Amino acid sequence: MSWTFSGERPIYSQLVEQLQLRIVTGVYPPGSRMETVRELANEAAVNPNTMQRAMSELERRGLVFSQRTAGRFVTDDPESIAALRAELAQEKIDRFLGEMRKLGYEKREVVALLEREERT
Amino acid sequence: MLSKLFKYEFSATGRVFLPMYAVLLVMSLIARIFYSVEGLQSDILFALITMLLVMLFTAVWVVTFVIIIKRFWDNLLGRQGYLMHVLPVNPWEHVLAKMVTSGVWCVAGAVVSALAFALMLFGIPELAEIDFSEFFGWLREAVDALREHNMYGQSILIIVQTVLHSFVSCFEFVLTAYAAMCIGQLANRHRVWASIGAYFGICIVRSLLTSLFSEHRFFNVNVTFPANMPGEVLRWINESLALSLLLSLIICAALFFVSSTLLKKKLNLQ
Amino acid sequence: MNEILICRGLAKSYGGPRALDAIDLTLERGRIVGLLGPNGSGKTTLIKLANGLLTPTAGEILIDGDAPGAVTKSKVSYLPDADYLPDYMNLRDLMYMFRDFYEDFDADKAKEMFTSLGLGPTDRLKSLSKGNREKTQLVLTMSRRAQLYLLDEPIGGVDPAARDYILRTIIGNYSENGTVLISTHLIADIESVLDEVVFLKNGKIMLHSNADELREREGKSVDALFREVFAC
Repeated sequence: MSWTFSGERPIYSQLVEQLQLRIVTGVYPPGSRMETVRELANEAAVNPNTMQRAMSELERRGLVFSQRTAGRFVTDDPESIAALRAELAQEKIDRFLGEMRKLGYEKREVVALLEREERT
Repeated sequence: MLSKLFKYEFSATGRVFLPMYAVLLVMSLIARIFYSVEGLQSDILFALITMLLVMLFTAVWVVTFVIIIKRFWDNLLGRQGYLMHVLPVNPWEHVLAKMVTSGVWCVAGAVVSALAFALMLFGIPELAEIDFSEFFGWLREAVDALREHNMYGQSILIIVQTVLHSFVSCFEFVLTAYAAMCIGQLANRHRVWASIGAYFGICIVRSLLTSLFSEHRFFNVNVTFPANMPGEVLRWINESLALSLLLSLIICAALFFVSSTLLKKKLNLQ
Repeated sequence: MNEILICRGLAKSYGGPRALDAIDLTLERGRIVGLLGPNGSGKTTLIKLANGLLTPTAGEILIDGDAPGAVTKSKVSYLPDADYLPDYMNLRDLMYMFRDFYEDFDADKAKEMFTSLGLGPTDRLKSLSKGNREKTQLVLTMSRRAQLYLLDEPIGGVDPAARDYILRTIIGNYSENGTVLISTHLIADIESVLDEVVFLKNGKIMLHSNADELREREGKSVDALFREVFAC
């Protein structure tokens, strides 16, 4: 998974999104130790301060936690990860529905289309 | 920091000077061998080697001056200035380090030249046969004569002052070149020509000062020529030397101040 | 004191029009700041003033509270936009020299970075390619634990791979509380590493803002905004 950023939106929020995605998809497995902010910043080629802010945000949301000496770890609580997964899925659905609405589809029609997709 | 500057200055310039001295000494040795080995003494060869040596002696001095000037120009006023002027060092320390290093190389050049000359000279068989005891006897007589007339101290002083003078003139030349380059670099174009112009400008000012100084001195001198008392003449010479030394030192200080101040306030790296 | 660099009414003129015109600027510690502007906008002049390579025509510039001098130079690590290292030196000579003059120089770090570039301590600068010479200068600059890094056009005229190396070297090595000032006119390339941006135009500051706040407020990239501000 590579880091890509668009210049139009704050790097900070894009970092939060991409880090969450990595937690949900298991790139950073539950309970695993994360790299340091510096290492991550270097990997993503972003400012360490911004990476630090994104990390604090993840901490606030309970997705990662710090242990004073050992470093920073991904949460090992399956429920928080599941909740995050659901949240990300909901975001994608909302965005998808929004775009379909622009094309003139009602929600009902979208569901029908999806069901047909499943049968093929 | 100053000691570190000296260290880098010596190692940077030594890489040119030391091999050059080595070449000079080796060449003198070779010449000595040629001069002394019988059967090898053809006139053409002798002339050729002598010419080569004379050229080498001249080259040592030319190279010494070129390097002293080029080192300052490249290292402080050229691209390398970006390295040197961001070191945590004051501008006057740069000038001092460069000046002292250059002075040491001037002296070293003189010593090595003398050594090379001696090496070569004593290879000539005719010279090796000269009896020096006669010369030393004459020297002793001269010293005794000076003592008798109470002029020994004055004579020694003249020698000391003359040696000091050559040291100070050496520094004065170096500092004149530095100040000229610091002035020349102020120009945005033709910086080399501007520096050369500045050099001659400083020289003109310097000779004006000298003539002012010596005129003043000559009008106030209390000696009648030819003096019946040689002691008076010696004293007069000593006083003149001392004054001229003082003038040189003042000029050196002024040039040093000009160079450091320009480097500090008016650096113009390109 | 949290400010590392302060300019008050800072102006510089080379005899003609002012290259810098009464600039007021304060940079705090621990930031990566982009000094952005087209050629001739005064970027290099500002950086040279901060290094004491030029003296101000008016106003003042303070680094950690002091005017540029021997003291501030020990706190500032400078990467000039010029090939400035003496040709005859090899990498070991250079590392010794930096270690001798700068107490904050980390020779082990430099050595490690040289090794990862495939360069050895006995390599002479003369024998290095242009790209490696530039990287050597960067390595020496970033191996210091300085309080202020002044990088003049570090990514000017390099290929994308080298640019990537340079950016990573900068963000991976600047000291914890140090501030990095990067001047460039290639904004798109370094957008993602900047905390703050300073737009310089004709010797005046047009804008000084947090980069993310700027994107949020304007809904566009710093690069796009730059193009607007500097459109002819």
